[in-house]
Amino acid sequence: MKWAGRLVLILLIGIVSLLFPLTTSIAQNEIKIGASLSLSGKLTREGHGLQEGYDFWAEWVNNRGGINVGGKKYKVKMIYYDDESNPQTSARLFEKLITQDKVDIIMGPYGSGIAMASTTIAERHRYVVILPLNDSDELYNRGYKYIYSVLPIASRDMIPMVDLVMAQSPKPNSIAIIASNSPYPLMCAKGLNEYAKQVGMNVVMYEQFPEETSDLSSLLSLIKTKNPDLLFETGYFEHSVLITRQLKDQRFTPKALAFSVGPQLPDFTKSLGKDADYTMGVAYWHPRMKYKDSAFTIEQYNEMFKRKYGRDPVYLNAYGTAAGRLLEQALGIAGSLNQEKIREAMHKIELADTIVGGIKYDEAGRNIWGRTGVLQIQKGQAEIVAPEKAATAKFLYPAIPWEKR
Amino acid sequence: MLILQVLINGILIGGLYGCVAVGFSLVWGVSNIINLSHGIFIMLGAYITFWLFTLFHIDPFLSIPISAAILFLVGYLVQKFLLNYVVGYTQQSGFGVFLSLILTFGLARVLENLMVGIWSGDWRSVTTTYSGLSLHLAGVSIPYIRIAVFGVALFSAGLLSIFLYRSRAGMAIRAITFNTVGAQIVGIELDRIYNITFALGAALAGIAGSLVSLIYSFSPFLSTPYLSWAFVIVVMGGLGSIYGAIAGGILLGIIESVASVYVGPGYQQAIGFIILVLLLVFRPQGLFGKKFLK
Repeated sequence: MKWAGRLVLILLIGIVSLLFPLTTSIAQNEIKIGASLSLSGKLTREGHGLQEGYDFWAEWVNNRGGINVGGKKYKVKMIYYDDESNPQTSARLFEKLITQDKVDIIMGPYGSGIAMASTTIAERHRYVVILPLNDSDELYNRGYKYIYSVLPIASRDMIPMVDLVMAQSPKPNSIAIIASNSPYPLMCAKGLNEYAKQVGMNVVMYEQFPEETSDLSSLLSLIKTKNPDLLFETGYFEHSVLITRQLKDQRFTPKALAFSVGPQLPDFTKSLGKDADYTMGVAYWHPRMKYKDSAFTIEQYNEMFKRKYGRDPVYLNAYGTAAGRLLEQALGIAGSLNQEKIREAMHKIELADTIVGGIKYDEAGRNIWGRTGVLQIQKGQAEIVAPEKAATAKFLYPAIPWEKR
Repeated sequence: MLILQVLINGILIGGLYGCVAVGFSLVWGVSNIINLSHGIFIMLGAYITFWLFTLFHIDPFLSIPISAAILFLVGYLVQKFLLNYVVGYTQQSGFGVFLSLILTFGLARVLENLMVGIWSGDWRSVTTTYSGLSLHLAGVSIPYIRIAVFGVALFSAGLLSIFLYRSRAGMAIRAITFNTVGAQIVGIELDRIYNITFALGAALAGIAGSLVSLIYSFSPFLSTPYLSWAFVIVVMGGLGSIYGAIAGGILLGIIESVASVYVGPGYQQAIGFIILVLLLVFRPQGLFGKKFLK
């Protein structure tokens, strides 16, 4: 029996050593792109969405002959690992991608918490990382030099809504801001509060409430006594439904009501019916937006995506694809696969039009041309009302009181 | 008028809190089982109402007895086939409380993941035609649904009280609380009474769940906050006391409501837990509890 075991071992070693030269010979004229994504665990859905976006782009660019780097065409080869929705695993996988797989470029995972850990590894190795869906302010406040966000940073998410309402007549002059006390909503609310003051609005309330609450009636009673023109909330889906219901209970209709998370999801209109109308939400991306990049419009993108995956793309897919398109531009400018050259190229990038909006970087890698869209529920439909060039409907303002709908 | 509105808000949500805590308090007081799956039982009740409403258009208030009955059965089976073994072991060693904690914690996680697996983690809510209608009196608004939820919560507690004081099984439950050995001597079957107690606790969780679905969106992950409210209320109201649980619930509702307006909305829950700690130090038997069971 011992002999049999050794024989199998020797055979295995033989097979493996035969395979190796094969894989390395294929690797020529190829750009290896590494990504560790959450393909299991609580962020599975997001991880897979992002992967589809990357895969779509890789296939698209390979069908066109690959990426042009310094006059030579390179095919794209994606290498994926599963970080199990765990930041530590993600960091370990980044190390593996850099030191063992020796990839040419790294594309980010989904989520800021995970990117916090893994970008530290990439930064140490001086590897450029393109982060499609990692928008936490903290990520970019660490002075890192090799990270680039495709999304605008979180604290700017609600700003387009303020601009939108300030352009209406009569102009609103007071706002109440409430935030669920967890990191993302607080970041959004902070940026919102600063911006509202900057444009001269009277902030009558700027408060946080507990994330796990099932009753906000008293907070809303208090807001009603202050009678602000606007009520903007940053939090999660369940809060948006609760607040809308309890506002109606108390018969208080702000001229504009906005949530960071809620109206984007079909469940919002399903839960609230007619009461969902006039509510605003952040639109990271929507297949009905009218953006385009240098090769295709969103309409064409939807069509191609549908052919490959059998359904419309969602923002996860679009940002993955946009990150790939961004990389193409950067490598074109850099003309080399050297990380320092790529980094310099990233800072030269000025893209007014992509399928997710504009892209230009500041020193820390924040996308300063990035701007979230605004959506508004109108007759049960989510319509894009800003920015103007992506809009599908006109913004309705002020909201009609609950009891008159 | 703000203070009046705030008090009414607090009292109305407090009734629901009380209903959340009653079953938990009963089981803890009688069987000495700290049922960490109480929160997930509540979510199960909410899902039952949700599905009956969505699939068969059964009014959520009419589905309350159904979710109570289903949860009664679930509770009975859990006690009979899982917990009785642990509780039996308890009597001799005193380790039972810890074992019941581990067992119910595990059960909660299993049920939670089953629910996520079958129904996904999406947020659900029940919206009836009368959702969002409210009574307006002297500048104070009182939503009809919340009045009804408050009423059902009190009514269920009342029914439980009648059961405990008027029925044979109810009196047996009380007998065990006062003297376990004595109750056994006079011929009360401990296991059977524990089964009924746990089933009642679960049924009350089912009722609370149906009520939760009427006023709030829920997902399987919402079980933990309800469990922690149940803890706070039981400590406030005293273990095993029905009136204590209801009064504790209303008190917590008022405290949260007042705190969110006059202390700051961020402190809405913190205040409740601060009071919990103070009570544990200065009045461990609870505000209304007659006795404190080990």
